[in-house]
Amino acid sequence: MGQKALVIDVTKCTACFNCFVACKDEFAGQSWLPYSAAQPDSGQAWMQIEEIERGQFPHVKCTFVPQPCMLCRDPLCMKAVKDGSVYKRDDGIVVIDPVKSKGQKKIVQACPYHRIYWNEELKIPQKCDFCVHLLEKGWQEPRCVEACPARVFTFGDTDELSSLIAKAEPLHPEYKTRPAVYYIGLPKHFISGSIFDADTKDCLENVEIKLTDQHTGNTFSTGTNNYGDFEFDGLDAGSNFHLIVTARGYLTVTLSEIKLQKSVHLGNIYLNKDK
Amino acid sequence: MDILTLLADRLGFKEELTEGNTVEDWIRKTFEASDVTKYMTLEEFKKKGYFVVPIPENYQPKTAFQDFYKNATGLDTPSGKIEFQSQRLLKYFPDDKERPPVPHYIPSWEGNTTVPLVDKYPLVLMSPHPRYSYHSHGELDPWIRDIWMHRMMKDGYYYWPVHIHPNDAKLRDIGQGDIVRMFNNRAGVLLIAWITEKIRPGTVLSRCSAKYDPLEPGNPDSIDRGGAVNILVSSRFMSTHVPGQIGQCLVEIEKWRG
Repeated sequence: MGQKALVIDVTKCTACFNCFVACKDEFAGQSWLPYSAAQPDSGQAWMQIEEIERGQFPHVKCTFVPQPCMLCRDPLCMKAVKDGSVYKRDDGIVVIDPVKSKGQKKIVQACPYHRIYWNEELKIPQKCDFCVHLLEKGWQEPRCVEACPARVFTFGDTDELSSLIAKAEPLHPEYKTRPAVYYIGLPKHFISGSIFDADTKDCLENVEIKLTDQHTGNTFSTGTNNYGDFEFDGLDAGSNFHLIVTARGYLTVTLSEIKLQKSVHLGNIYLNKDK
Repeated sequence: MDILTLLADRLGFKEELTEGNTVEDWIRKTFEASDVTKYMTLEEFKKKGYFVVPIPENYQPKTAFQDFYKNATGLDTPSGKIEFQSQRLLKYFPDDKERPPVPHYIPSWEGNTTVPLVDKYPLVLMSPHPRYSYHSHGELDPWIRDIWMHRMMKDGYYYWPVHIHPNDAKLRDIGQGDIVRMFNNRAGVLLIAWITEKIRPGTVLSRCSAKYDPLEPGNPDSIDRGGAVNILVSSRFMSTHVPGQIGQCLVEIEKWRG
């Protein structure tokens, strides 16, 4: 049996929450023993969507990051117990046994991704199991994957998905749990701005913008669009940047020591004519 | 239907409204007028509770406006084309100043240039349709209610969110997730603050059609905490010929210390 993997392309997610509702439809009030006990109607999100907001008005970008169980190959929830109440199947899916895990709240606390919930009524920890009861019946994919109208998710055997996985990365690799849930398009940071003529206040198109990472010496260049806007996306936080704005017939503008802690919109930059 | 029937009775035209039908009669007549009768009886439908409309055999999805794209005609307008000047509006309502045949900018009667009201209520409320419910239908369904972008739980209550820019929040000492009172001279509504750069400074956004849940039931001046921001909006129609209100008005927001 192949190891399962899930690739999530966050560039396609619009936060419609269809995956979330499909998950509720499958698990709320329905128990699928021996894999899962019924999920309560409220308070649990086995599939949750995080919003990452970047930039400042008016240059703002949002990314939605759907998060099921991370299919860890070194699951900390499993390490937290010794009695087999959390086990990993041959296909890599980690299951919390709804009977054996009773009363063990430490399983909830063990997950660094906060993907395990405590069922107060049944006194058990619960989480996404990739609809393992449906996969057993021959389903090719879990309900969330099937319900997604934007085809954000690709579910299958790890070796079949290798070309996608090569372009993807896990969420929070620093947790060192080796997830088999991979993400395409996780946002980094950007520097953006808008260029205008200081006299006429007109947007300036095709202005050359050069950006230098003062730590690595790497340089990037781009031009403004017809609204005078420019953007450098995919930058690493923690570095200092140096920006040079050059346009024929205008005095060059230089911005130094742009400390990038998070995405920054530099606002309107006005160029004076070179007389 | 019962409420409307009682009202019609009091106003003296019950028969015109009901045409002699009971609610059960209407259900049966509506069902019989539908194609569902080809698949099940009314009794079966009631027992099952729903009917999934089947996709026709050999169904081919069709891209919207594809005929127009190919032939540059065929739209449902008098000219068959996209009309910058609406021929229908020109014919029927040529003098409607609030919905003119050629769309153009008309300053809002209650917006950020409405002096002196804007001095008292400096924020423009935008109130588009809700994203995760159909008006108030399903709005409090426990699954939909759990969508954190739809309602946010605070102190055991699911509040309706209002988007507010960090600058506007800071001016008012409002923090992320604080309960706030949004108000004007019409009403007051308790909401949960969602501080975000997505909203323009000076503007706030809270979606329409949330449940009305007054703190003091029976008191028409009560503060609502269901998120029914509709009660802040003028009941003035968009134009004489356009029923429906503009989902926009002026408001002020303060941290709720109640």
